[in-house]
Amino acid sequence: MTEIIVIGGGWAGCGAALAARKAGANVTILEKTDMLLGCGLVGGIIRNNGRFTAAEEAIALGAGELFHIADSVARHKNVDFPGHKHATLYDVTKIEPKVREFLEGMGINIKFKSRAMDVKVRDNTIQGIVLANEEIIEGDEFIETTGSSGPMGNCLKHGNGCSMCIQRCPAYGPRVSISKKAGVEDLVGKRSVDTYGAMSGSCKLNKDTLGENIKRQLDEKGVVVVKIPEEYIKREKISMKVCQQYALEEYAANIILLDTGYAKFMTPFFPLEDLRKIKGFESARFEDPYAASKGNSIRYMSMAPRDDYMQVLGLNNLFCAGEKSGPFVGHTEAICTGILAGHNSVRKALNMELVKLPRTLAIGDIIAYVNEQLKAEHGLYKRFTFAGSTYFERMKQLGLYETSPEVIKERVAKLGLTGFFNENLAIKQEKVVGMYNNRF
Amino acid sequence: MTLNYYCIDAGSQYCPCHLAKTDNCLICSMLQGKDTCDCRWQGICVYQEYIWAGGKIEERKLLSVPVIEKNFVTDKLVTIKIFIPSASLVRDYNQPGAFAFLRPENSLEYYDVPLCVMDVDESKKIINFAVNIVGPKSKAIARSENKVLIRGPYWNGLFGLKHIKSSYNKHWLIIGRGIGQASIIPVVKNLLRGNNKITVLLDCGNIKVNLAEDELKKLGITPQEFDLNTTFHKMRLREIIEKDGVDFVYSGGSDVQHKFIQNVLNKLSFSIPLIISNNHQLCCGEGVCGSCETLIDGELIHFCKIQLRSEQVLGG
Ligand SMILES: Cc1cc2nc3c(=O)[nH]c(=O)nc-3n(C[C@H](O)[C@H](O)[C@H](O)COP(=O)(O)OP(=O)(O)OC[C@H]3O[C@@H](n4cnc5c(N)ncnc54)[C@H](O)[C@@H]3O)c2cc1C
Ligand code: FES
Repeated sequence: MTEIIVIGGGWAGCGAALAARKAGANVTILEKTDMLLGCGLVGGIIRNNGRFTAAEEAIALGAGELFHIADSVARHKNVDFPGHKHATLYDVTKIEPKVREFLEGMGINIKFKSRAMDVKVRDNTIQGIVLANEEIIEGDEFIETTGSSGPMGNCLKHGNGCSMCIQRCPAYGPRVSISKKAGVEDLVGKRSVDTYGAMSGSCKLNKDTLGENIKRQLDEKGVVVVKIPEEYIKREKISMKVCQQYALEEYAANIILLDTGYAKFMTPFFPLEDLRKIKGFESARFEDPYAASKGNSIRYMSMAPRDDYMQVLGLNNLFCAGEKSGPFVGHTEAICTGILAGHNSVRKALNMELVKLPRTLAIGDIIAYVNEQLKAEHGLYKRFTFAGSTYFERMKQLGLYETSPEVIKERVAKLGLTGFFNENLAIKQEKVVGMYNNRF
Repeated sequence: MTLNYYCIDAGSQYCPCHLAKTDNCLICSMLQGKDTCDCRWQGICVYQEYIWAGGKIEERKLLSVPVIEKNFVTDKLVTIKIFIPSASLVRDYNQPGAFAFLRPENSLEYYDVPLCVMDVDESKKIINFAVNIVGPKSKAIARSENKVLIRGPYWNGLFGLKHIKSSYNKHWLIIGRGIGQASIIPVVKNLLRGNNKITVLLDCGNIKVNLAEDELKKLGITPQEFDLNTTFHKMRLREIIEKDGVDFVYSGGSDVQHKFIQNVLNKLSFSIPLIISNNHQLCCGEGVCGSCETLIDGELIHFCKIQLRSEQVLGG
């Protein structure tokens, strides 16, 4: 049977594993930490702005399970906050076991505390992944979804140092660029000519440490906006943020909190002693990163050049998705690119033709558009998300943005793609071979 | 796949070192002058340590220390006991594979002889070395009377340290030959703490005496006589390994001896890790001078700093 190895169990890796399994492969996820979801453990915002469209497209295409799980642990639905509409906030404290149970239930093999450290390559074909304990995991096709955060050397050289984020590099070891180990140079995101990467755009406060009023509002409405006294406003922070959809004046002038189980604080970092001077925050403490007083993780330091099938260029059997596959920001973006990578990896293993998603769908368009933008001048300075900034504008202009699930279902149906990712390709191929053999 | 190894000093008080300062760190890509982070992770971030220390590094100090006792065992073999004034420094010498550079007082750096620590008495702060008198450096140190200069501690005196440190209730076969016997006492002491069963074979080799015998007996181990040059003993070696359920083998001696044992082990139907003493020409011990450099799988390896598996060191 086809063996697909997914390296990195973030949202992209989960999406890839799901699609590869549905397409009929044996799937193994290698995850360096003790939990799935990567940055998804500290995120929580889905379905805001154009992400709604993408999620519904994925559902109509037959690979919507991860969105359903996120919806099922939503703390709030249909939340509006500055620049954003109809967001769903999933509970980051509840979602991981649910996803884990679901994927394991599908028969996906998840190896935790298994850090990929190197690759065995022959003739541009990956033979196996070398784990930190020197075990070698062999497979037919590989999908790299190691994200782009850290490791701490990057956070130190290009940021304010390791701030002890959810990636927990000091405990589980650094992220590794598998594509680079296999001989393909990384694309490195930029902030300016000589500064690399971008800083994660939000941090989390422990909700129980906030004033009663704020806590109650968060629980009830999911969002709280508090004005920051002028002397503590740091507008320059906006320019360093990953999440250009939150790079708005409101985010510098206000404390914007969202209830994701923690109080998600839409600022990359904030000195605790300043924060505690603001009413309602007198006893505040950070939950992620633990050192959010000084900084946040640096990301987009190792993207792989790829085609629109999600294959890494220059290698015969490596796919990629999520932040590894370009300056994508977001869970939705990670899941959607992961689904295509997972599906195509099985096609490749079965010698079937690979597929692109049509550009009349937001998912198909963003995959192709980001690739075009990366090749254009200043491409490495940009980030892309369905949720805001330039790509959301584009969605609106092209008429791709849509908030009615029915209309989206219809679009997918017209393309003949309803349930596309549900098809078990391995069985289909056996049938085809069987038919062929029966003729003789 | 790149060669997998680790740096003996990474994470110690002597890390970051001169190599970090000169963009030659063996572990960290940032400290090799690159823009992105891609290290041989050893549980710590060397770059972070370097930045936090403000680019300062801690040097191993050169100490002038008294010689407490000097004993010519034969005309070619002398043991030298020295006194180290600092308890913590003595402790740092008390581990398998530890060595130091010794030279006579009032002599220049190139008289430095790398000597493995034969034994440490922590309570008396005494370290015992054995010197095989072969050339100008060993002759000079053998002639030293009251004081010597010592630079250390260094730790890469054997390959396979992690096996020794993590071994509990295992059976170890230890083979010491010639001056290579000097390295086995710290290994044995460490293994005894892990409640390991220990069988020791001693071959006096060209030093003509079994240097480690008395100390081993004090530790309750009766070493067996052995002669690598006879076919009878070669067979016995195989017999011991196969019949007595040996889990690990430590070879303290020449590369010829290591290779001989490696061959015996390779013929077995199961695999047993071989731990070997480091016999490379060491001069600075810091990865700077290059005297220990060897090309392995296309990578330049500094044997004074790098821990490899014995098969990587010996080839095959
Ligand atoms: C603080 C924060 C808040 C965010 N909030 C939101 C939000 O609310 N909504 C939203 O849509 N987006 C949010 N984002 C962005 C979003 O989380 C990411 O873009 C997306 O989840 C990336 O998914 P990924 O799978 O590509 O990478 P990651 O989530 O980084 O996953 C990579 C995985 O690979 C593993 N890994 C890395 N190296 C190795 C290795 N060598 N061997 C084995 N495993 C390895 C990691 O442990 C990790 O699990 C947030 C990001 C951050 C940092
Ligand atoms: S002894 Fe000088 S580099 Fe190794």
